[in-house]
Amino acid sequence: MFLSILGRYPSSEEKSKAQSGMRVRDKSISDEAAEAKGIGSVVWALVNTREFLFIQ
Amino acid sequence: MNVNYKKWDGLSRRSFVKNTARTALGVSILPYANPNEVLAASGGKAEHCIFFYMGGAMSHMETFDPKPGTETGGKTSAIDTGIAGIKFAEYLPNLAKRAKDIAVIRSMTQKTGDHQDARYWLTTSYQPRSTIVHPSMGAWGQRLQGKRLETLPDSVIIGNSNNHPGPGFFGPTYAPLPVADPDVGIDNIGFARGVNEDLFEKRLELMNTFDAGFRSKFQHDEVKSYTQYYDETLKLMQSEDLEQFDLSKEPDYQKKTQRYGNTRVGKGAMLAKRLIKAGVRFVEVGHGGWDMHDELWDRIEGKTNPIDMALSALIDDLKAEGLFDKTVIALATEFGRTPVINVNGGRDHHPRCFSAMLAGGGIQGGQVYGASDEAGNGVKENPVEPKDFNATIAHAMGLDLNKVVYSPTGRPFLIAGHTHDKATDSIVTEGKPIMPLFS
Repeated sequence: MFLSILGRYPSSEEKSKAQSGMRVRDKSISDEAAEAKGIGSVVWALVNTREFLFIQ
Repeated sequence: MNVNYKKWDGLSRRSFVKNTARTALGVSILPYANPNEVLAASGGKAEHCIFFYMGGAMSHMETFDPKPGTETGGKTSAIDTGIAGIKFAEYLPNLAKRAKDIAVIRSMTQKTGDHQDARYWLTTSYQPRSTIVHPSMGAWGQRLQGKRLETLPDSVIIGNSNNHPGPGFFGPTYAPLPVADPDVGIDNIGFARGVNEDLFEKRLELMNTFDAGFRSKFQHDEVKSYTQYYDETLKLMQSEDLEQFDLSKEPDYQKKTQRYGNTRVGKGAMLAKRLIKAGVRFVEVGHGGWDMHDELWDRIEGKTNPIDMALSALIDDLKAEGLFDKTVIALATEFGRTPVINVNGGRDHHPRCFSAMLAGGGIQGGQVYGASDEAGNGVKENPVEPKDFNATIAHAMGLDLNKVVYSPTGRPFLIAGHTHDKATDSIVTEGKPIMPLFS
């Protein structure tokens, strides 16, 4: 994800943050939906960085 | 930071992201305050401006400068306004009744008959150039007097804001907030489907973590300015001020809709009133569709009725709420339409002579400034260019016409255009306020 959106590898801290961000615990939705939501969080966060916006 | 040659290749990544952010995330929008820039007002005392922009070029002959009984006048007749010697076209019956509050300018003139360029000139007082984008009036207001409110934006554009110069070289912190549809309010201000506050907070935290390295490494103004308005947007998203954009919260909404008209411009005028009451400085309300090259008389009332109702109701309400003297109401268009009626029963582009209107904010109503010739073809006396019109608004609002602001490349610019004064060897305003309009 880091490679496709920002064109670089994550640092080890970013990697562990992203992994925890991808874990969504929500009993009201299916596991697949929770997983999609978790991936969505990381993509949203990456696309909203100034790094994505300003590096041309 | 600005590597311009990279922008020559079609849709750049930056503009793609900018537009996506605007439509998908709703964040392209908020200006911010620099308290150091709050300057004491001079000149007029008006605090707000509601600027009605008639897109597509409004015919002066069918609105504020009718010529009944002449070859060029067409089928349009004139009606009395109750002020001796002043007649409006028959299509503005309600505004005619309020003529004592309205000043009409019949000697507007433009240098181009191109819609886009003429609008740019009207909005910025400058000729379009490929090397710079000049700021619009709302952005100038914020720049010269500082941001008025903490969460609400300083300027708002209601209607189509495509191709609007917006903040120009002042940058995104001075950008007007776009409201495409007054019935809807601000687009995309709520959470995305399936996202609640907890998840949103979590996502923000992730974003800030991922971005920390970049932000500390690249401490450029543009990055900081974007971060600042991103934060301002979040503040507005969570603020009670959001209500100001919700027309259904307006007292007597249904009754008001009947008076303002159930139209985009009617609702736009009502929202504009609501926003300036909440403290917003500059609201532009768009009303397009005036480009009547054919069958003009079949279509004219579809455009004149909505503004006749919207402006009349607005004048009444501003007076009732004690805001009329504090608010400049302006109505302007990029150019006029030809007095000669073409073979398709329409009028074509006519930058030489057209009309505009001002009311409130210390403007003396019940008068006409300037005049067109017999046929409505050219200016007979007292020509007024867009920069003079803007200078008049700026003067009414106490904005300093001679305050120089430098672009990032170090070139000087003024709110109503600039020229070099040889006598004092200084940069002074080119646009001149129309002083006879002030009482």
